[in-house]
Amino acid sequence: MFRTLSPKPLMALAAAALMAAVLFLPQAASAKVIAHKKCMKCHAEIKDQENMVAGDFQSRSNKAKSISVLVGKGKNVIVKFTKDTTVENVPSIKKLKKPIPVQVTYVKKGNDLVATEIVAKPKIEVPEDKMVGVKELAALVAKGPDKGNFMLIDSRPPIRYFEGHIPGAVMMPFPKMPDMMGKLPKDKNTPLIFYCGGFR
Amino acid sequence: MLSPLAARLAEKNGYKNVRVFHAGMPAWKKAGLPALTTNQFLKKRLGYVVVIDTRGPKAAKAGHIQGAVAMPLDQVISQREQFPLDKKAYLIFYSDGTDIDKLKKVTKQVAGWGYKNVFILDGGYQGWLGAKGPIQKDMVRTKIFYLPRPHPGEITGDEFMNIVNNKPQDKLVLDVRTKAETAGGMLPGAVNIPVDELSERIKELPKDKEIVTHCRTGLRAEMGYNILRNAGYNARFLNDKVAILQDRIFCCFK
Repeated sequence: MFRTLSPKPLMALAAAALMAAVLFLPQAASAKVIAHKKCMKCHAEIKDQENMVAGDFQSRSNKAKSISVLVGKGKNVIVKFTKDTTVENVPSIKKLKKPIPVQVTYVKKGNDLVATEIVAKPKIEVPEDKMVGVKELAALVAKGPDKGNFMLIDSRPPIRYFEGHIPGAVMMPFPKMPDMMGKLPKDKNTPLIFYCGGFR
Repeated sequence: MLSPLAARLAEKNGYKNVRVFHAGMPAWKKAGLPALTTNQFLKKRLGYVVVIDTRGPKAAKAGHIQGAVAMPLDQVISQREQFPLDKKAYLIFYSDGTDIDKLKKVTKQVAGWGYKNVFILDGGYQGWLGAKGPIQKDMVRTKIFYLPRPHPGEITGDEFMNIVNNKPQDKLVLDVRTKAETAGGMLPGAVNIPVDELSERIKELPKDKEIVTHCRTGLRAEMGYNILRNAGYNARFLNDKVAILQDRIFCCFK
């Protein structure tokens, strides 16, 4: 690692500067963000980003040094990676698992998109006492919401709920939730348990 | 990733006892706990899922979900070798009604074999009838038959080999493997552009032909298909294994 403290970083810097200069040329400045609609819901700020692909990681080929990112229904963008591509929130590119959301910053080389940075969706922190484990939930579900005195809420999109859900769960997709508050129990002390597709 | 946000919103609305099942649906299924699927989902996927009628052949003969396999509940476990190799295959069990308690032991065991999508049909056969789902009488299947749902742009092995053998004018087979791999042989009539060079060299390809990509496993073929499609080409890909050994072609194992 330390051997690279020779003129190489300088060259890399120069190359990066050159790249940056190229990016600000008028024809390159039009490279808009390619983002999945659902990314924009919470990350509206990325719409002003240039040279970014945002969507769900799909697959990786080591032979082609490329990853595939889903950016819309049936639409995938292929981005190459190099040994200089940095990754955030996962230890390495190899640890990216479908369908983790990613923001990929790239440079254009000819027709190729070459990733400089891949940022995976970070872990969400939930305090320990606000979490329910699988065993506890299984016991509650076996009793049922009435006997167990709780409400189980599936926050995922309807398509996921229809595919498969936990018995007794109420479908309440998160984006629709503000309009569905009336479906929650009147008694605000009723235990509510929310679930979705899981998070790291 | 939505549940913590939903929980926060519930708390904002005054709910005092809010928790999150953070591991979510994947962990629930992995533990082999019963998961319910719906008529809506099954109607859409019928033909590309394994549907198992656990009421037995007699009830199935009187009427069953279209394409279902009749397999009495107490025989499911002994039929393990019949189950598909693909562990992502959807396996949907049903009985008369929702019948979770009746089916859950069996679905847990089947999930324990490594299947990731094992479901019980909510409402069972009665619910299916109520939802006017397609049914059959007689013609009861007794062996599991599984056809995976194709990805968009996927070509069948049969059609692919037909193109390789007959080389129709309006199709072009594009091998997207690396030079090192193609040195070991290529399909007759195929053109090679490694997928990592494809964007750069895309102009070498004709726009008036349908381009069918293949690689060794299907993964890079799909990437190639996406590059071509995004560039406005008419393309499909083979999502299957291809091996070429001393001019002998081994292909299409699905």
